[in-house]
Amino acid sequence: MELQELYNRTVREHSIRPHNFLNLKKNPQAWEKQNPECGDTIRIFLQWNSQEELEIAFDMEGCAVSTASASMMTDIVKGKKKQEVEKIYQEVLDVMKGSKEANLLDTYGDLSVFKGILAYPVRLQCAIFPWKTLQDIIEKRYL
Amino acid sequence: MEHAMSESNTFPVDEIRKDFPLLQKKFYFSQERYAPVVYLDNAATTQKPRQVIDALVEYYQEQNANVHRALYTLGEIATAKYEQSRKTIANFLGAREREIVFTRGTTEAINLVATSWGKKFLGEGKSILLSEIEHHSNLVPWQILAQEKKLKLKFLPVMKDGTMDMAHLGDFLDSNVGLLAITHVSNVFGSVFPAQEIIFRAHEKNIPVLLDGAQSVPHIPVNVQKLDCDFLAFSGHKMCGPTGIGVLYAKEKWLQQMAPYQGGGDMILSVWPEYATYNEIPYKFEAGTPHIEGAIGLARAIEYLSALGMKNLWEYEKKLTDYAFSRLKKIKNVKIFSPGKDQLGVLSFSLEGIHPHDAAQFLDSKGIALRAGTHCAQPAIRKLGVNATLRMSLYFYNTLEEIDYLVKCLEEAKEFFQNGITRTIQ
Ligand SMILES: Cc1ncc(COP(=O)(O)O)c(C=O)c1O
Repeated sequence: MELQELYNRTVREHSIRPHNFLNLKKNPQAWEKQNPECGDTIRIFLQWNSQEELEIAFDMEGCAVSTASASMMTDIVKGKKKQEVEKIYQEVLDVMKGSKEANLLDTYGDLSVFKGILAYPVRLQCAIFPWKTLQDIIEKRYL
Repeated sequence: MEHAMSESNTFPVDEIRKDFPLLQKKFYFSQERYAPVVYLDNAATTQKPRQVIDALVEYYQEQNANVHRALYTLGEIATAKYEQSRKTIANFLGAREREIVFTRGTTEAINLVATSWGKKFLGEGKSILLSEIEHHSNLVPWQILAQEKKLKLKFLPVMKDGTMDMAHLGDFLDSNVGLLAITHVSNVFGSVFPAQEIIFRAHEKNIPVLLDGAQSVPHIPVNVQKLDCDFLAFSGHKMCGPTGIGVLYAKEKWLQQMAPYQGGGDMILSVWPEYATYNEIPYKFEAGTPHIEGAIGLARAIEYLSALGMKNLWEYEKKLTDYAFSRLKKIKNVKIFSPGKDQLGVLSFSLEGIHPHDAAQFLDSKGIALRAGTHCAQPAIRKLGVNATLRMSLYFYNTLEEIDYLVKCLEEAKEFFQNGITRTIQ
């Protein structure tokens, strides 16, 4: 894989200065999940505000790809209603798992930079990890 | 032709590399690198010499038939080859043929012991003693058994660099321990547990010992009589053999008493609608059509390694390991987790400020295959207080030049990622 393509400016910016990044280590309301293969850990805090819009923050010990993916994800779903959030992560996961067109990522702004790693199933797991965690929190444990 | 050690007593690594077709092939890694791979993930699996590949092809072109049941010529040929393979492996380990059970690999061998031996010999209240840094395949099968049979799991303490804390071994060897199951060589640190001494002391307390030989049997001479282990498990694919084949060595006295692992063809003597009588050992533990060409390929790999000489391989690997350790140590911001002495060629380390995944990705673009992650040993990694490590693991076909190249690329990685590439909460 070409390094400049993967570690382009967008990914670097998001991984070095991630958005919606908060220290959640001691926050009992944050959900924590570990990726067993690589050991990466993500913590996500989310709640629906009085307008039923999503408030979300995360922190993680992860690689540039997973951190950037989480940063972009929080940007994308923040302020959205539950139904919309569900539609978004479903679509993104479908693309990442290969059952939907890669070009759909273009509709999600920065996330389109990950089109390049769709062909690399191992590394792709890093980008999937935050999205899968969000799905698990919302569908399996939360609300 | 197998290679002889040349008279100057240098290891003929350039000649040996020619035996490995994959090491000759060029791969496209990135715009700047179209070249053969620098393969440094030998603890995960090893490359295969043409002698082993040829043995597999030959089997399918000239010997293929089912074993132990066909009376015709071809069946005899296949059966003879399969059983000859068992003999080669037995000789290699100093075991008897009937003590060699073919399995899918280390994992299945350990599961076999947990199921067939553990269920029978470990009663409620007994404990199983493991080390703190076991591979998941020598941990999870015991967790499952412990839950089912209400056993306790206990863990031998290990030092920060993955070496055994021998001073405290005695505290753990008490009459409640029903089995000691430990790795011989750590797949995270490369550290070697002093197996012979540990086994001797366990036996003084009548504790049987299972040794996970996945990382030792491919690299150093291992003799089951000298070690006196009760069980030894290892995988063919980590020693130039095919995937899907491995070995459980077990002392005959245990195999005679153990219940079958799986039921099916080949493991029976006579079958009636309501019951069956079982075949003699080791066949009792090999239900169904076995991985015939796998066994043949593994035996061929063992012949290949034996011709080079396990001691010679070990000495050469030691030279590589010492060199790699001294070179890595000199790189600024590299943290090494492995002990550096009395160890085999597995080195865990990290680059400060650069996540192991990102470092490994960078190295891949330079054509270097090296692992980043938890290496199927999460408790060991957790002990280090990190999420993951980089791990290079050597084999006898690696070269000093490859290590130089790795070091050069690690320096470049630091430059590429400059002051780090991710942010983490401290
Ligand atoms: C120490 C150790 N034990 C067990 C295993 C499992 O081997 P396999 O996956 O071939 O069954 C490995 C290999 O990954 C290992 O390094």
